[in-house]
Amino acid sequence: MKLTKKQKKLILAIAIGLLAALLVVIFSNKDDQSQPAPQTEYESKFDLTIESPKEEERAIEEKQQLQNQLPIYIENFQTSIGIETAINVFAQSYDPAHVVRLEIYGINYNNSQTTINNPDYIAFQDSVEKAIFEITTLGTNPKNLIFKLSNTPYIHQVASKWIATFAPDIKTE
Amino acid sequence: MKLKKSNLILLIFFVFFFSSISKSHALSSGEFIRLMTGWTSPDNLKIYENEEFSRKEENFTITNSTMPSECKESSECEGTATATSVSTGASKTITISGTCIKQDKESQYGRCQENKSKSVSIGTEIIGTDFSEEISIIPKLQEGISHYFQPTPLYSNNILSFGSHQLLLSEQDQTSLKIDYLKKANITKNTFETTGEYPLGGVDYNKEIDCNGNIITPIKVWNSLPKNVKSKSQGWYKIYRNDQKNDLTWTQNLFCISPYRTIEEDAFARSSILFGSHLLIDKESIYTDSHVKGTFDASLIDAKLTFPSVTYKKIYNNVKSKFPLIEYLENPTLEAIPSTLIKTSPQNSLGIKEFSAIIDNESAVNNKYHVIGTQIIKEEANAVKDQGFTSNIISSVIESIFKLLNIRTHVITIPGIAGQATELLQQEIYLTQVASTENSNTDVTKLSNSVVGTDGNTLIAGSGGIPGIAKNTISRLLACNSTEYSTFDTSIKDYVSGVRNSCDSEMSLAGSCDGKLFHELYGDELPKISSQAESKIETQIPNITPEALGAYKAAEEKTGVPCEILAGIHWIEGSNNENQDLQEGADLNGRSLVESANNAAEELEGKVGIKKDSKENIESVENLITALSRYNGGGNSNCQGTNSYNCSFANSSRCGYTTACTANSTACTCTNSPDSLSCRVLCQEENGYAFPFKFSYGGTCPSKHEGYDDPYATNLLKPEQDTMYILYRYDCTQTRPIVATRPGAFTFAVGYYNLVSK
Repeated sequence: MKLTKKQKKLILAIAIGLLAALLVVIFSNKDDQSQPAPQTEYESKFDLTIESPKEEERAIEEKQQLQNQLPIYIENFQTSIGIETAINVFAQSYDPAHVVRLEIYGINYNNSQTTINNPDYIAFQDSVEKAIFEITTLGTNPKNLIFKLSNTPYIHQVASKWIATFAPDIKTE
Repeated sequence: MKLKKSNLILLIFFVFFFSSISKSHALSSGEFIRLMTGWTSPDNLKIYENEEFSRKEENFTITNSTMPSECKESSECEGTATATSVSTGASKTITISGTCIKQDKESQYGRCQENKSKSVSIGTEIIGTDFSEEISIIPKLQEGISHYFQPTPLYSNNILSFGSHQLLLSEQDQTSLKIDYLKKANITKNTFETTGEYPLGGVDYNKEIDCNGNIITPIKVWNSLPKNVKSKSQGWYKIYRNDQKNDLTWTQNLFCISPYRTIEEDAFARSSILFGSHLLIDKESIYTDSHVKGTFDASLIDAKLTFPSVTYKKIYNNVKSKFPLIEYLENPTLEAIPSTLIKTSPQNSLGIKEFSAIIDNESAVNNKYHVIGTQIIKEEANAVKDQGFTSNIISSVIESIFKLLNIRTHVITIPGIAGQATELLQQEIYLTQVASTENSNTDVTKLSNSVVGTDGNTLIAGSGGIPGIAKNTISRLLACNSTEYSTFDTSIKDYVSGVRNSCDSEMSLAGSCDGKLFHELYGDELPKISSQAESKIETQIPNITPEALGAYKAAEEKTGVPCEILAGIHWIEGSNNENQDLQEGADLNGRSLVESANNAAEELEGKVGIKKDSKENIESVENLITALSRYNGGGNSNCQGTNSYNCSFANSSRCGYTTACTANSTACTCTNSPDSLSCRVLCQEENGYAFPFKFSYGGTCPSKHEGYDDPYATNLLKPEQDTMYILYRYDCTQTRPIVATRPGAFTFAVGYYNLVSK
């Protein structure tokens, strides 16, 4: 096929356009790579806000003392309000190094009120006090630890508010 | 003068290609021109549709969505919708799913955002093996031989069948095949040196192979073999084993040899041709699919392994009567050279037309590109997507142009001599499988490696294809020191996904749920699940990708939580979508699904007091259900129904702690200082902490054990759990109970076990 001048010009224009597009693609890829990865929702959800590095370091040291004795797992714990709970103090490999889990099961955290009329709050309080007692018995100072109260965000949120009312020295994430 | 659209595209392609050709390893410009022009279609060849993009609608509209707008979890974001083709107007009902997008991490609820469907098959069902997931426009090579080779990440587009053939071969088989291959190399050398012509079925005897840092060639390895091994006389394998124990060099070198001819060695014996109209030139272009010759080699082995020798010979002779040239594919002797074959073979014999081309012997032996006559070219088999930066760029640009101009592509495969002979050989094997397969189907298109689902996104194995065969006929194992080693019960999916259950059983990377651990832990306690649940699970199973199954399996291996359980959790949290995590169905955001599955498994075990990294399992169904309920928080436990009542203040569908919550779901939050006039406070004043919407749960209350009344774990497990309710659609906010429709995580696990892995 013999090309006319017009066609040749058209081809040249297209070629230049495409080469420009190629360069854009190449360099835009490079730019993309150079940008830091955005912080993920997952990461941010589990980021801990620690007041000072010293607290974190102390928490790690204290956790190391306790680590080999974990989990502390108590089933069928009878609370004063009649609700039966399970107490679980443990550590997970993917949690931050300074974090210890303290989870109480059998509580309806959807009943989030902080009042003595709320049986779930009372049962939670009894259970946490039992857990702290057990931790102390093992020679660990729970005040030096930093607790995560659930991997479910709303449970951690409610439990943190509750715990602050009766054990303000206990740190949570 | 106006350019025709097709010519314009062709010219764009030319120009662009030449601009990149300096960096491309694929073709020289001269070869490219020949490739683009002057092709003729070979006669008398069967045509199989391999890829048909015109049936896959990328431009479609979605209407009549039944997906809810509000949500608490991504699992709630599913429904059906009508997909309508923009171009044809045809429509069909499809299932859709979405992700629950929350305004911020504190929000308890969000809105469902539909996941974008890549494409929808609205028209006729796609038939044949579909590789459309890999939208490569530039010469695309079919991976039909995949199941004969070692799995590698490069060839993950047909993961179900990749490497499965290895399961059929013992180490002795493989070693024997390698010796045959070397023998062919030696015969090829003699033929070439004697005649100056490169024979059909030749082996590139001077091909350089990197063997653990040493460069070897087939002919050198052949020359180093002991005499008894070369002739495979009695006791040869013992000699091999003994020398292998003593690490003699020849055994190490033999280990590096392929049992079949490799891609590069398909010098000119036409294997298969890809026939494409996608480049919009008037004469269709033809590309070689140079994998198929190795497939032919391997299919002969398949047949030998499958049938008694008498039957095998009958089958072989039958194939040979149709394709006489196959004799020379395996015997690169003096008779197998072009000048002899052209004289002795009938001119209308399939394949002779290509074969009769002038051969560039030197380049063939030196593994360069070969121009075969004036019409057929053999390109290097590196045009597969992801093989090179330049290739990818070219593909991407061309794809964009095609999309912009709404041009559809259509690629079909025309198997050549080896390809068609292979098809016949394999069909005999398939037929033995079909008879014993539940889904017996003699349609030849269903007999290819894997079959694609009607949505075009699912590869279904086992309809008589190689994976099914391998699974049924596997009878021998490889030695532990072999990289192909795998234990007897390794599933095909495990195997081809790269999993190697190594000799110490410590390591397994991925695969499918094999049911062993699940059965070991819970087999005696499993209930029969409802037919409603079974039906839903059965529908979901084809949607679970090998990658997702691989992640569950890997987590099982690491943590001791059965694969099926993790599939159940992921079903609830993210509809088994490999891009969503097992924690709450959120985007993986850079984590791998395996990591997410590992964390989920550890979390689950942690919930019932199992020490991390211990070898303990969750040993009873009771504990498992409890753990699952705790995994999700347990708030929906249905025994709350016992004291439920219709609170006079719960006028809307929500009863929260803030007065605004009644009207505005975004105002429903967990608070420890509730508004005095909020629904929740008023209802509690009216009737304590009883659930403020009356509902009736038909199961045992108090619950048999913790979690047994939680739909997250047990929905649709037993008849008494046929009607379970979701009570908290938002955290801390009681909502009008709605019937849970998805099987619970444990229910799903049991269903999956019964339907698949049992």
